[in-house]
Amino acid sequence: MSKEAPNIICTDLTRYYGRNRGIEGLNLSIGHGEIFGFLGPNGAGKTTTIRMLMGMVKPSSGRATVLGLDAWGDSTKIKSHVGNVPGEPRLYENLHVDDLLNYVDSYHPGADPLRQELIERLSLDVNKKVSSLSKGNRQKVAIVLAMMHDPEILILDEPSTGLDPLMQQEFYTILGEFRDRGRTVFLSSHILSEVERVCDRVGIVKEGRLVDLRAIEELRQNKIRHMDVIFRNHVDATEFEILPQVISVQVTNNHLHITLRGEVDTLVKQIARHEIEDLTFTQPNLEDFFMSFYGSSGQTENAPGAEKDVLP
Amino acid sequence: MNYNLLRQSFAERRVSLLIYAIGVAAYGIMILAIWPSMQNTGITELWDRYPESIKKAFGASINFGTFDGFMTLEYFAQMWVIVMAAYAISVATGSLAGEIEKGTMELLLGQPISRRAIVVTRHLYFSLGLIVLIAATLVPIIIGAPVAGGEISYRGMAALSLQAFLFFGAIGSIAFFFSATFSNRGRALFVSLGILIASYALDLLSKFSDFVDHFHRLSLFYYYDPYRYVHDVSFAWGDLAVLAAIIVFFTAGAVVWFERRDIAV
Repeated sequence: MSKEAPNIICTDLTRYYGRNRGIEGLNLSIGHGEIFGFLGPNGAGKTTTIRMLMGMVKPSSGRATVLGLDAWGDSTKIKSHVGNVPGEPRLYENLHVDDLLNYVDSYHPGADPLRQELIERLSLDVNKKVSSLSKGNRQKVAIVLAMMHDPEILILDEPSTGLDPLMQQEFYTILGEFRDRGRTVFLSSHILSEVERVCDRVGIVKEGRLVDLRAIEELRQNKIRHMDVIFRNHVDATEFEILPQVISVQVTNNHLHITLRGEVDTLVKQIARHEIEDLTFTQPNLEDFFMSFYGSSGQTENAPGAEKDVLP
Repeated sequence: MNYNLLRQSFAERRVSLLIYAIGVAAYGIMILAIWPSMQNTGITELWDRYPESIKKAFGASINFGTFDGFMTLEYFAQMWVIVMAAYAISVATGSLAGEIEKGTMELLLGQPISRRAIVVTRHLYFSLGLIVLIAATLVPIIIGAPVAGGEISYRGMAALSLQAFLFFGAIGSIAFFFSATFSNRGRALFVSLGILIASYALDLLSKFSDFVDHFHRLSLFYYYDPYRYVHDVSFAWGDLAVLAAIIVFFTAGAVVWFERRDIAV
């Protein structure tokens, strides 16, 4: 297989469960050294896609290839090169963590170059019995199991679930290092900030269809965010309304609720001209993101450059 | 076949296998221990006075006054069948449907091991477990029979081993097929147990009804006749071939089905 060929290709990949839609007509191509975010709300078809990539579920139509091999027909060969963290990792409860690692290790003869490093960086106690582990520690075990052989491809379904913020940070760093070694990561998530933080490119899936595919920088620039500022004195809202990034300004006494898209530098500088009592800058959740960016139909709404609303 | 999975299967289920082994051995030794006190109690006369229908149900041809007849009626045709069938169905349904239900199948299938290898290896573990249990049952009886004053034929016990292996192997293979079909262990257990009970009922009824007797060959128990093997040392090769064919057919079916199905845990 060619080194230049994409590591993961989905061509019209479709899966129905009876009449229920899993994913429909998915076309994707993910290259080497890329962390690809697969973003969408619950039930959008993310896990179905991952199951087809992992050869657990057969496509109704279309095809997925991993490292140039058919994800369904050649799944055994593929798994020598792929690490997977499932959505809800289930482990052998009666084993100790170390025994479980040894067991999975036995399927990958040769080496486990990252095992000890991952155990240390994720602060995993390998002497505990799996049945006694917390949700977060189970997730750590699943991450070590998937990554310890330094696979060429990582397929991760909501991998940071249950990890505390410090561990999430460490995990994102590990993923970055993985990418820097030329590995490919397919990361499914419903957390916008997670995808924004670690991914190079994002595919947005909604109701079983891929509605957008773009570089993360582009997503960041076009994302709608909200800023709440309480000034010490009365401030005229119009000085903010005229800024090109601002979409709307709501005024309540000295409190301004500003909705903006794109870079914040100009707005922050404008705000800094006044005395500030408090300032909060909230990241939109996925639902807000979808409503503001795609609406319910999946069609782009509030596109960059849309008219501004000023609500008194 | 995958050696890692075979080793893990033994490691994971070693305690339950040990309990089964101790159970079948202990029950056999207990029946063995009863034999000396039963020998001179007129048990044969008592058996002869039983109604024909009862004798038919338990096996009219069995001579209760002999050691192997006593062991057959008290163990090989009764409790042993229940325990060994429970082992067969329990292991078979736990091996595939049980793992899917617990979610650990996703971890297993995430490794470079084919679905065929999973079914074949789990079946091999089951078969080796059967051999262990048959040995755990018969070895203490073979050793203890002279001590208890019973006469036993080594060839008869070897013949019984072969028949038991194929009979319980057939029960397990049927259960394996349903284990490969369902994602829920309870369903696989229910269907496998249902077939076994229906099979037993058919065997029993066919001894009383000529009409039902026409369908006797459809019962798995038709092919299990421990007294013939242990006492007469007579091989019913046709019956053994049927049991072997059931094993091959249902195991192959399990492989084919498991290779083609979705695994969504």
